[in-house]
This record gives sequence, C-alpha cells and structure tokens, in this order.
Amino acid sequence: MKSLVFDTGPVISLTTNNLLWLLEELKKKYKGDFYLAEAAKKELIDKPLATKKFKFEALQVLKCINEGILKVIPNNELEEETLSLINLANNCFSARGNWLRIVHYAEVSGLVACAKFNADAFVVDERTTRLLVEGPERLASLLKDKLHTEITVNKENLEKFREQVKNIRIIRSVEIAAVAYELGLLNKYLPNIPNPKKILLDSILWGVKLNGCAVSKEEIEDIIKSEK
Amino acid sequence: MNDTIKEDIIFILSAVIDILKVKEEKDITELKELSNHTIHNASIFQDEDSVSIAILVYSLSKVIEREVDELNYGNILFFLEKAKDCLLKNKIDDYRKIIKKAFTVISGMDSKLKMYIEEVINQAQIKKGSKLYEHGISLARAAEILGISQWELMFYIGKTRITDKTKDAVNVKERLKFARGLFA
Repeated sequence: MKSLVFDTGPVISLTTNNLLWLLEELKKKYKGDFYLAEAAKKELIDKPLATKKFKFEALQVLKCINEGILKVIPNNELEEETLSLINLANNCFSARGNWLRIVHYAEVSGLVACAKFNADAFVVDERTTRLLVEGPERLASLLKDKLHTEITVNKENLEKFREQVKNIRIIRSVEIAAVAYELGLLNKYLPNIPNPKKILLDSILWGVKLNGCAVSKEEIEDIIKSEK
Repeated sequence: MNDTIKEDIIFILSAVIDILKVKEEKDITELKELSNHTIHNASIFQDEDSVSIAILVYSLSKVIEREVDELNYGNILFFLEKAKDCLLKNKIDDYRKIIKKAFTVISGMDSKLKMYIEEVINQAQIKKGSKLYEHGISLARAAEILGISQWELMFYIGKTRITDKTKDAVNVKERLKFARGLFA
C-alpha cells in the first residue's frame, strides 16, 4: 500500500486554514494511506488538549485520526531507528565545541517512518528538517551566518544520515494545497469576482504561508505563474 | 553551567544593569538589541540558563515599553546585580533562584495587569522560539526548548519573513511536479 507520512507542521497549517477536510478528499485521489508518527500526534493533540490554546484545532485533528484519515504509527515501531537517526542528525554540526541539537524526535520519527514503510513522501513544512535531508550544506551555511560562528561538520555522521534518508522525497502543505486546487477540490470557494481562480489560489497559498508553512513569496509567485 | 555560558550571562547582566541605571528613552531599544544577542547562546547550547536570560531581557523590554513613566527600576536592578554577583562567585543554584525571583519582580511591576505580564512572557517565549528557528533549529525543537506548543510557534513564524530569506535546495516547480504525480 502506498503512503505519505505527515509531520506536525502541514497538519497545523491545514487545520488553521480550515482545510483539514482536504485530507479525506486527497486520500481518495491518492489511493493510499496517510500516516503520522505517534510523537507527531502527541505534539498535535496531547499537548494542546492539556492547555487552552489550539484545543479545538487539536480536536479537529483527533477527529481526523478517529475516522482513519490519518493513521498513527505507534512509537514502539519507530523508536529504535529514531533514536539512532536523531543521534546522527544532532551530531552533524557543532559550534563552539558544542553539538547543535537541530531536530526533534517527532520530526526524525517521521523520517524513519518514511524510510521504514518506503513512503512516497514526507510532508513537512518546517525548513530545518527539509534542508537537512535535501541540502545539508545550505543548513551549515545558514547556521554559520545566523550564529556568527564557525560550524564544524561531522562528515561521517552526515554521510550516514544522508544514506538513511536518501530515498525520502519531501513536499509541503503549500504543494498539497496547490494540487487540491488543481484537482478542483477548492472550487466551492471560487468567488464571483474577476480572476476568481487566481484569487482563490493566491488566497490558499498565502493562507498556508501565513500559518507557518516555510514557503517564500517568490515560490508562491512561481506556483501561481505555473497555473496559468 | 559551562564557563562560556556563564561569561556570556555575566556580560548580559552587566549590560542590562548599565542600561537600567539611568532611565532613558533608548532603554527599550537597547534591551531589545541585547535580547537578540542572547539568542546565539540559546541556539548553540540550548540550556535553561541561556534561554531564561533571553526571555527575561525581552520581557523586561516589553514591560518597560508599556509602563515606562511609572516604573521604578530599583527592585529589578537589585535582583540583577545579585544574580550577577552569584555568577561571579560561581553560586549557580543561587543565581537560578534569583533569576526566578527577577521574573516575579517583573510580573509585580505591573500588578494591575497580571494577565498582560503573563502574555508578555508567553510572547517572549514565542518570539525567542522564532529566533531559534530563524537560526536553523527545527520548529519542533525550538518549541521544545522554549516550552511552547508548535501550534503557537507556527502561527507566529508565518507572520514573519523568516522563510523568505532562505533558498530551498529543491526548486518549487520540481516539488510541485512531484506532488502532482502523487495525486494523478
């Protein structure tokens, strides 16, 4: 069975844009499973349910899980490999003699789930995990620029990490939203004004960006141009 | 607490004390600049002390910004000087207790608006979380370090220009083409 693994970010940006319902429709088109690592579920649901903020949003995600739209992979299926991979990831770059713990258990367990179940893609909105998988040199350069200090790269660890994630492809909620638009799933929102399609697409893409998806203004413009 | 962190916190405390010694309009700007400096150590060491001093300095700047005419810096200066003294004498546990008290003092600066202060501290956590993210720490890790939820951090980050500044390793057209293929 083919599958996509979701990190917390895309679920958050879809929920905060009132677009979580898209997952059910997209799943029908995809004809495969949508997964969440248990650690991601904890961040998405358990934590907000323990506070006042984003509680209702958490309930919406929980409903999605209860209905089987998002399936949760139990931590015990991922734990061993996650601990090993996070150890590599967080020992790739050092600054001032200190290893930079750049990624979180939940993000790495998503990567492990992708590798383990040979998922088609990891859906992740945040920038660091994406750079670590797709362009660690860029991440090293970003760290150096931002921290104003030399970054030492442990090439051996980085190589081992890359070997384990080399087949993982990444997409973001912004691509999910663009595809949903192309499939006509958002047509009910087409406004009765000039350029309705362009306005709808623009609104959706900016919506996910403004709710945290790491996509640049230029990338949004590129997507809009490609839809002409 | 390692020596690098300790020295840096002593530097920060000395700078805050200097700023607060004379009440001036530029205090807020200077405190905010100093608060930005604190984030480098918080990113690298990700320790409780670097994070709490970052939040303290930012919260202080926000409280002063709101209440500048009524504020008496005396109380907070007393605790900051005491905290610095503890670090100089390597009394780390005492230092941490005093920093906790300093937070209480900041809250007490504005007793009429307790909720506002709580919000200021929460906002300081989110702001510093976004800075960690900007510095290359992942979203979930930044939220974990600051003790905030990913929901609130993402919500805030989306309103900043952080993601406009970094170029992705994969071209957006290529990524979109791949995504289309998944749902074709």
